[in-house]
Amino acid sequence: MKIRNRLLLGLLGIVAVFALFGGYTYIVWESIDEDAKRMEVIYQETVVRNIERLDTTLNLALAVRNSESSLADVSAGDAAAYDQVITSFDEFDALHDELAASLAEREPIAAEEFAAIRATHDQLRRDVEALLVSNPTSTDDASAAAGDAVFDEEWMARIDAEFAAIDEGLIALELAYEEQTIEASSEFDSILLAIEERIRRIETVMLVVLGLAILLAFGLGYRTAQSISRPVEQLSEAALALEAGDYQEGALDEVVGRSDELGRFARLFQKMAEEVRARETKLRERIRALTVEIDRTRSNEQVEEIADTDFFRSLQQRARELRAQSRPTGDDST
Amino acid sequence: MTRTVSVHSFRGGTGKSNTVASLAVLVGQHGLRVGVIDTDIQSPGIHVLFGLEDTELTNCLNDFLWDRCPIEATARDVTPDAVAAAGGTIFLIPSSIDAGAIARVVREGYDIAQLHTGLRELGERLDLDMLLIDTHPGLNDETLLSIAVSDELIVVLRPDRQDFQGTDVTITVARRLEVPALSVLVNKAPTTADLDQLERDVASAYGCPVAAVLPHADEMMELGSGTVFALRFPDHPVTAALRSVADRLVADGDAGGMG
Repeated sequence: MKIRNRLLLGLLGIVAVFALFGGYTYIVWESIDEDAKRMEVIYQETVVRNIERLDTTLNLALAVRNSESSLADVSAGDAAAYDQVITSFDEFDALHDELAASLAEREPIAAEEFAAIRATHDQLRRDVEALLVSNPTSTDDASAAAGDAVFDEEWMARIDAEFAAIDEGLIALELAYEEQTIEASSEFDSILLAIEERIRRIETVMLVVLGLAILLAFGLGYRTAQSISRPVEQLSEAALALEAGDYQEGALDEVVGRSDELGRFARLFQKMAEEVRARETKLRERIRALTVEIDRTRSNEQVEEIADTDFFRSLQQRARELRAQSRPTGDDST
Repeated sequence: MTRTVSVHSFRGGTGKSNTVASLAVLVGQHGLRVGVIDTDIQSPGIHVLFGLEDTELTNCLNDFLWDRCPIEATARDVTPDAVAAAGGTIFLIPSSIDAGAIARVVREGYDIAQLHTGLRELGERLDLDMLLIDTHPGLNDETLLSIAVSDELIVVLRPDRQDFQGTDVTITVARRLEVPALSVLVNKAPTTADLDQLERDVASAYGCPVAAVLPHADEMMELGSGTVFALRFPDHPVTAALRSVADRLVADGDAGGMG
């Protein structure tokens, strides 16, 4: 495979690992998003509403307290407090209706207790009204003495019991609301924990993926570098050897078999090296031919052939004379 | 006093004539009067290097040898501008290229004594400082004579077996003729060879100095006729080597004249 393709493949692998990680993160994030929405619903529908209900319940208790104290005022002879008792009862009924409407929107909580409170309160109202109707207040009468007769023990005990029952019912209701809120918040907590757990898992997976990618990149880089640097080293060694004149045939056997660019280069190099070697051998043969070789026997024979003539001997003689003449001392001859 | 230098080679094609022509120019550039004589009567050629057309060869060495004219009448002033500028003069004594004249030399020969006289008179009458003899390859009578009357013999050879062998014969013969100075000049050495080693080998083989080892110059190929290498390529390494040979020849001539 070509080196370029190998590198591209490695890069593709790393990109694929990251893409897988991205996909995983997306899916996990979607579920976290869902949970977050669920948490919002729980918060809105349970926590916020229950706080409102608790608020209303407190107001109910307050209305009961008001009617109780006003009733006490009436029994103490304050006829004007009668209206306040009725107002408080009406207030209670209005609040109860409001809460009933709120409860009807969702599954009712402690519906029986809630209905029982209303029933008790209605009974209380009827009892109080009955009591007050049978004992019309006459501010002008000297009713202080009559008062005792009017609010007889039995009625009062009944009304007190009814007040106490309402209070008890309201406390139970409050407890029920509180319990549900606590339940909701614990569900809230568990969802939060689950989300945290998933985020932690993403972090872990991210670390693993990152480590893997780094390892992969390093491994790939190292392998590629190895698979390139070794043949390149061999090629440069071969080039140096060629320059020094001791290139060995087969020094590149490992590289020429490769199917990539280096293999092609090595094959070309090998071909070139063989040509260089052939040329060098030829050259060396030519240089060797420059060795000065002289066959003295033969040249002596040839010299004798030339020298053994009368012409040569006379030439020798004349040359000797000539040189003797041309010497500076005997210059002026002929 | 004319210093006579023979340039010889055992075989043809050694670049002998080119060497003679360059040496003549380089010696002439010392401001000297130089004669160049082509005693290669059977295959003349050096005149071409000095730009002489064949038709211009009227009086030749042949005419003198056959007693048709005095030797000085055969000399032609062929001084190139570069030599004239240095105050030097070059005279050329060509051989005839006429086929009939060459045939006559081969057939009848000539009086070798006449050549001897010619060489001696040439120096005196033209007042030459140096006479360079371009000899015929091989060792025939006129070559032996040229060698015998020379003050120095330079044997030009190419580095091959035949030349090595032939040069040994020439050197031995020259020693018998008691030539005062002997040297060999290796020409056309392959540029791939170890030239220093070759010089040492040649010097030890012949026991005489090596004038120069000239590498083969491709420029020689582009050198048309009518041109002397040393003039055409004054800065070439081959010219530089030849110049040192010429300088040495001039210096030896001065020493001889003084001593």
